[in-house]
Formats: sequence, structure tokens, C-alpha cells
Amino acid sequence: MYVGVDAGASATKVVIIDEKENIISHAIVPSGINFKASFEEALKKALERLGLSRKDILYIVSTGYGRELVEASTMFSEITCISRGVHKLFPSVRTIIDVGGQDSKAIRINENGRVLDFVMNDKCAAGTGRFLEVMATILGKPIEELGALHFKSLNPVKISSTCTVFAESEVISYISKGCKIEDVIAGLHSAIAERISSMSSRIGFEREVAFTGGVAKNPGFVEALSKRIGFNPILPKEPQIICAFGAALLAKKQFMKKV
Amino acid sequence: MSGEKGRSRILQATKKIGELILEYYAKASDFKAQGKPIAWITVFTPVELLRALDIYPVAPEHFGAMCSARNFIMDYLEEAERKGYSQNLCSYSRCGLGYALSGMSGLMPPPDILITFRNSCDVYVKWWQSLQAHLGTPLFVGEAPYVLTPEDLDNYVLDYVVKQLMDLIKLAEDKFKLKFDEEKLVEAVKLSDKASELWLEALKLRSNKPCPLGGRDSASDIFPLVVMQGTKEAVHFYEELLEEVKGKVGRGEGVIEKEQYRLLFDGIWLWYAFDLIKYFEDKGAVFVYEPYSEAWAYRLDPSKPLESIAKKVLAMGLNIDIDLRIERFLESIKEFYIDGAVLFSNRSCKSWSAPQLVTAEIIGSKYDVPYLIFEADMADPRQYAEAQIKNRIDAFIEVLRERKCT
Amino acid sequence: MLTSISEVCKHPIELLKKYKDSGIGIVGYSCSYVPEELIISAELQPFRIPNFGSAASTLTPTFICQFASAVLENILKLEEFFSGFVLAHTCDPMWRLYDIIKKKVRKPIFFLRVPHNTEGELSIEFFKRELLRLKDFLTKNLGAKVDGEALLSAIKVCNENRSLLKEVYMRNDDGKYCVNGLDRFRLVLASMWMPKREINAQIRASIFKYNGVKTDKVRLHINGTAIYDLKLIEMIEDAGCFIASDDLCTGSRYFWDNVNVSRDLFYALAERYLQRTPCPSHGPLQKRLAYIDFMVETFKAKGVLTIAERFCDPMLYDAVHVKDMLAKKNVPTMFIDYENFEQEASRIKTRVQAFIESLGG
Repeated sequence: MYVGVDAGASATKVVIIDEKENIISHAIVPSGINFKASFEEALKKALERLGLSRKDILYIVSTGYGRELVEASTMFSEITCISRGVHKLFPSVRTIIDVGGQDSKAIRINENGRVLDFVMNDKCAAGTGRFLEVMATILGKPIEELGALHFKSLNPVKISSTCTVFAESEVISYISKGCKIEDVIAGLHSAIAERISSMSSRIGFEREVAFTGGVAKNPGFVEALSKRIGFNPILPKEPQIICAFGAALLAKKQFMKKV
Repeated sequence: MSGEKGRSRILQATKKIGELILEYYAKASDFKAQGKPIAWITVFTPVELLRALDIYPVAPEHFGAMCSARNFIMDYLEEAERKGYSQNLCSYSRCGLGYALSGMSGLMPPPDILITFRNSCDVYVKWWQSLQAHLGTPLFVGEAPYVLTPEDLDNYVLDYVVKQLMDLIKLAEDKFKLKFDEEKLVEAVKLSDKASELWLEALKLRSNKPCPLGGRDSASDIFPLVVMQGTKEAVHFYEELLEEVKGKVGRGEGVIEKEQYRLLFDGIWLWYAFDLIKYFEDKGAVFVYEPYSEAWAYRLDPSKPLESIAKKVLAMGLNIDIDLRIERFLESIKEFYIDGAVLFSNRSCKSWSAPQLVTAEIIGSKYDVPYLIFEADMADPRQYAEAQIKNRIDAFIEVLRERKCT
Repeated sequence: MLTSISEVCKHPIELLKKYKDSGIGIVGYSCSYVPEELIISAELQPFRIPNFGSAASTLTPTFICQFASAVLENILKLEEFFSGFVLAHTCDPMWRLYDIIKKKVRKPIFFLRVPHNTEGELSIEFFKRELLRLKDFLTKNLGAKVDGEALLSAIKVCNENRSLLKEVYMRNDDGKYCVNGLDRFRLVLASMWMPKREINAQIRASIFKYNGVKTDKVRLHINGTAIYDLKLIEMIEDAGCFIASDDLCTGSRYFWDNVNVSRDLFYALAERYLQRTPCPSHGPLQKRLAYIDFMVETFKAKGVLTIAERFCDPMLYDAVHVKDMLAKKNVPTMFIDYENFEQEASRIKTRVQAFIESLGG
């Protein structure tokens, strides 16, 4: 079996695939400050589910923010890994929008899953999962509830600031004026969708478009982004592990090259 | 005193500007429809010369300010950003490029020639190069070298600019099968000089207490000097304006009733946030001097028309040595009885903002004038942290109040 | 004074201190539009002021090019080592550096006005007048008389330096062999900091080293302005590529064209400095695009990496057109912006790695 590990800034994801490239196990663990430890933990969890041990692993590919810090056979960039993962599951996809904990990216791929162009935002919290985390804390709601609350909104507010810190002030101002929490949430989803769509439009939206990354688990955000780009995207069942899946596919490919 | 909102006034002349602007653009479209050439110019390009060539100038910088003020700039900004232009670039240029990339079916007709004279910033050159790359329109780039000493307005530096203007004439004649009319240039120079004279006189009257002409007036009323120089309409506008201002001085009528603090504003205005000027006025503070307002008013000598307009291009505010600029600040602090300075650190205008802190320190220390610096963008409404900026203004006014009491 | 090239590139300020100690008059200059020949002919050592060793100055706003701001900080910190400064009007922050320095520094400063419209006789004639003014400044304030012979001799030694740098560079145009980008950049930077005779001798003595190595690493062209801290270049090449060519002003644009020695030496200087491939802040856009195109084809780059300081207006405008031009030729491009590459190492490496992977590397 082959292992892919996506050592992201927020969470570490491990995916194990078999010879036939099926996902047989996976695990997600918060990254914390020690990538090595989180990787070990995630790998252990994933192996336990199969009742297998490290000896059975033929090759490991690491990717993500902490890729240099975990023990792997080779490293690849997330851009390449996400592309491989998406292409394997949805060969019709030509544009991928990935929104993670601390960065967001848009990638264009060709019919073979090869990367043609990409843009990234990894210097500013606005337009990433972090933005929603900060706002959820202010609103006193767990982040998993944001999606459901979004659909209750009838009058979304307009958040005009592009900066997370200034947007915080706006949110506080709206709540103190008595605005409904669902309207603020819908407004926030719209703001983050606008940011991401604007970044992504620089490389163009060729269909099909897929959404991946942890924030794609938020149906409210998905709706806001779909509205922005003008059509419905392909949504994997487990958007957060696509990158690690791609890494595992590359692990198999690299191993095959050696034999 | 704080919390009391007085009524603040704008001039009748100012109320007419909106219409004047729309008329100007409508005329541009007519001109275009008649098959006559339209020039997209960077401001300070000698409009007087274009009148003599029968070329109609429009200024995308003004277009950007107008789109921002009227709230329809976002589409153009987004179009430019989609093309790959960074948000860290001048918002006027993002607006203009976005407009050019989306069909140019708005108020500003497409250009037949692109003309720029580098005197304010290198963005002029880059923006105009980019427009040419997208539109294929012929491009003329002139250079107005940085004026290091007053002698540069008379030596080989001036000569260089004059020769470039002659090149421009030749280019226009060849390209558009026109004939340059020297008489028309002299006439345009006379009218331009008259308009400048009238406006400078009006600005001088701001030294009166209470000040009759405020920030919202000066921001709007420079429009005819920016693109309408050399026309009778511009002269007529300033004749009326001057009469009105003289009348107010005679009656002791100021922008606000209880004028407490007289302020200097350094920078371009925030076009989408004129209410910020009112915010100051509501606290008893009125803007009495801005380098921006006098930037386009320049006395010309009709007996030396080409040389005069060349001098005007060179002597533009940002293009003269820092010591000469500081001198003007210090003069104005005395002339207009200034209590404090507000400096707008404009993300879009790096040429202006880069030396601002150093200039502010010097003004602050030499004349003991308290100053406030805040950061935002002149036309991009997304780069405006309203609450934070108003907070700073409040604190600044308190400083001014303390000083008045002691 | 023998100095190792790689030491000089790591610690140029140490070299500056050595010069001061040995009584050599040093003229700090800001950019490649300043003719070193004039400074050399006045028996002074030209020294191009880098950004490294300093963080951005607090005297400028945060949205001003941090590179220029760090150069400013260096000038303020290192003033005592210099006899004077020559600053050129290239881009806006470099222009405004003069304003700020004028108020903060006591040593003599000269501001060289470089026309942004570089083509045509008018501009050359104007620039020639500016160079004559610079000559007067140097002789009046700083050094010896500049006579025709001294100038001709300086032009010759600078031409020789440029020719040697080009020779090393040209050993690169074989698609299989490649001279390390890092080595080539080192030679250019050393040429800006060391006496010409010395660096020329060192290059001549070691030119056999630059035969290149066989490689199948992805060949890239770097599009940018000035990069003084070569750790950035190392970071890029370590990600798995070779920098086969570039259009940096601390790279090929520094040496690509020589001065065409004619009777009127000042005219010759003006013509060369103005008409070579311009800085992104100057000259016709088409001229730069043609140069990039030529470089990519000649040195067989598979892709182009554009590296821009986050607030570098000229690069940010150009990036759109560089991408368009190369897209028409099916050459992939990647845009990377940064303020402090060491702090942003992770983001930069990710992008470079992904780009290399997408090119099949």
C-alpha cells in the first residue's frame, strides 16, 4: 500500500491506497506545532483501521506546509497532489478551487490532470478557513454550524472590508445594531466567496469546476461560491483529503518508477 | 463643543460641477462621432496644445475619480484584477485598464491617441504602455525631468520639454492629417492663463476667517483646470465662482458657522468618502489649503506659448525639488493661518506618499504644527477602514482643542 | 587587495569597510543607469548599494517597495563609508529616495535624471547633458579631473568586464549544458563591488571553471529587477531547476551591451546606457518583451519565473504583458511576489516547486 500525507497548517491528513488506487483508510488530526508528531498520530490511526503496520507501506509522499518535516520518501507540492487526486476521481474537471485552513488556491489542469496554471493566496487570512474561524468565535458559534445557519438568512449583510481585522469590526457593529446572526454569516460567506472568486478568475473558470479543501465541507460557503462563479461545482464526498489522496497516487507512481 | 453638528456649506458653483462634467464627456462623444480624434491624457499633459490641434482630451484619472465618487468603480477594478493587475497598483489605473478591457461603452470614448508626460509618477508611463498593449492605439511618452532648481525652468531642461512638444505636434499632424494652428495655441494659452488667474485669486481668499471655500469645493472645482483649460467655459466658470467667493467674504460667510480649526490637507481626496470632509467640518475643522488645489493653476505667457506650457508641465507640484515643496508648505501655513495638517497616505499614489513622513516631520518641527497621517486608497473603497480612521481624526481634533485652550 | 568573489557577495559591506580603511574614495550609486565609467575616470571606486543587511526603513510607508526602502536604510547606516552618492531617477521609490536622503544625509548627493522615453536623439542628447553635469559634480566635489584619456580608459575596462561576463553567460546556450545561475550572478554582483581590473583578472583566470555541467533539470528564465541577496537564487535552484537565463538588472541587463566608443565619449555613454534593454520602469514595453523572448529562445528555457517585489509597480504592470506574450508562444509563466524572501521562504518554495513539477521536472 501507498501513503500520502498532507501536512497542512491547520490539519494533517493521511490517506492510504491499495494497488488498485482505492482509498482503503484515512485519518485527519489537528497539526498543532509538531508536524512530525501529528503525522505519526494520523498514520497510526489510519493503519489501525486496517490492522496493518508500517512494514506494509511501500512508499510515502508528503505535501503541504509541513512537508519537509515529516518522514517521507519524496515531497511534492500541494498543487500537483490536489490535481492528481481530483483528476483520478473526476476526469472531467478542468478547474479546482481549494480552500484550506490558511490558504486558498485555484488550479487549472488539462485532460491528463497536468497542471497548466495556478494562483494562490497564502499571505492573508481573508479568503481562507481562518477568516471563518475568527468570525465564528466572535459570533459564538461552532464552525460546523455556520452552514446550516447560512440557509436561514433572508437579508445577508454586506461586509466591505477585505482585511480580517477590519471585517471583525464590521461584524461587531452589525450585531450590536441588532442584525440577525444568520444574515451576518451569509454576508461573511459572500465576502470570502468574493475574495476567492476574484483570485481564481485570474486563471479563468473552465468547466468542470471542483471545490476541495476543508472549507468545502461548509455548504453555506459552497452555495455562496457557486453563486459567485455562476454554476454548480463538483463536490467530492471528502473534500479535505483529496490532496493527501493525490499524494498517495504519486507515491504509487514514484514507487513504480523505481522497480 | 464636540457633538454639536453645525451646518456646513458648499458653493453654488460647486453644485454646477456635476453637470459640467457630464457635458464635457458628452461633447467628447460627439467629437468622436464626427470622426475627430480623442486623446487619453495623463493630467498635466498640455491641454492647450491639444486645443490648437483640434484633438479632444479626456483624462482617465478623472474618470477613475468620478467612477469612485458615483459608486460604479468596482466592475472596472474587478475586470483589471481578473486580467492579472495587482490590487497593489494605482486604483485609477486599475479602473482605466478595466474600462479599456471591457469595451469602453461608458462615458469616456475610446482613444485615438494616448499621450502622457511623465511628471507625477512612473505609473503614468506604465499605465499608458499597458493601454497601448491592450488597445494598439499609438502612444506618445514625454518626459518632464525632475526640477532640481528654478534654473531648470529656463535651461536645457526646459528646452528638452519644448522640443518634445514639437515632436508631439509633428506626430499628431502626421497621424491625423491635421495642421497645428499657432494662433489657436495663443488663444488657448490666454484663456488658460485667465482661468488660472481667477482660481488662484479665489484660493487666496481662503486666508479669510471664516474660510469661504472648503475641501468639498476645492476637490470638485478644479475640474475645469484639469481638462478644460483653454476653453471659454472654464474661464466663465471661474469668473462666477470668484464673484461668489468674494461675496461670501464680504458677508463674513464661511464654510461652517463656528470655525475652530483651520487645516491643511496633503494628498488626493478620498473620492468615495466626501462625508469624511464633512466629518471634519462637523467638528469645527475646515480645510483652507491643499497643494492639490493649486496644482493645475499656472500663469502662462501668451507671447511664449510653447515655452510657457512646457514650464507648466515641468513645474507640477510633485515634480519640483523637495526643498521647494517644503518651502511652499511653510508659506501656506503662514498665509492661511493653519492650525494643523492632515496627510493622506494614499496607497495608490506612491510617488506622493513615499516622502510624506519626512515632510510631515519637518513641518511639524519647524512650525510646531500638529499633524495626522492616515492610510487608505483614493478610489478603491475596499481599502478604507472607516471606523479606525475616524477614531484617529477624533484624537487629532482633541489635540488641536487642547492647544487652543492652553 | 585580493578578495574571494563568493565572500564579497555574502558580505559586500565588509568590502566597503576595507576600501574605507585603505583610503579609497567610494561613490555609492543606486542603479544600473549610472555610468560607472564616469566614477572610475574620476579615480573613485563605484559601489552599488544593495538592500541586504537592512530591513525596510521606518521613514517610508509600508506599501512602498521594501527593496528601495532597505536601500535607503543602508545609505543612512553606511553614510560614513562613502565620499558621496549618485542616485538615478528610475522608478518612483528610487526617485523619492533622493528627496528623503537629501534631508537626512550630509555627504554630497547627485540626482541623475534618466528620461523614461529612452528612444530617439532628443532623449540621448538630454541624457548626455545630465552626464556632463555628473562629471562636473564628481570633479568639483569628490575626485580628480575627468579627462578624455581617463574616460576612454575607464570605458575600456568596463567594456572588458561586460564582455567577460557575457562570455561566461554564453557558455549556457547549449540545451544540455548549464552554468549554475548562482555562479553567474555572483560574477555580476562582484563586478559592481570590486575594482574592475581585479574582477576582470579573476574571471579571466577562472574562466575554465564555467564550462557548465550536463543536466536534465528544468531550465528556467528569471524575469525581474534587482536581486542582491543570492540566497533567494539558491532557494530557487535548490527546488530543482537551473536558471538558464535572466533579464535582471543585477544579471544580464547589466552587461549585455557595450559602450560603442566614438569621438564623443559622453554621447557614446548616453547612448549605451539609455538604449540598452531598459529597466521595467523605462522605455518601450516592446523592447523588454523582445529581450525576454530572445533570452528564452537562446537559452532554451522551459518556463519563465517572474519575481517581483510586492509593491514594484513596473514589474506588476509588466507581468501581465510578459504572461500574454509567452502564452502566445506556449511558454508557461509563474508569478511570485514577496517583501522579505527569508520570511516568506515557504510560500516561495511551494510555488517554485509546483511550477517545476508542472513543467515535468
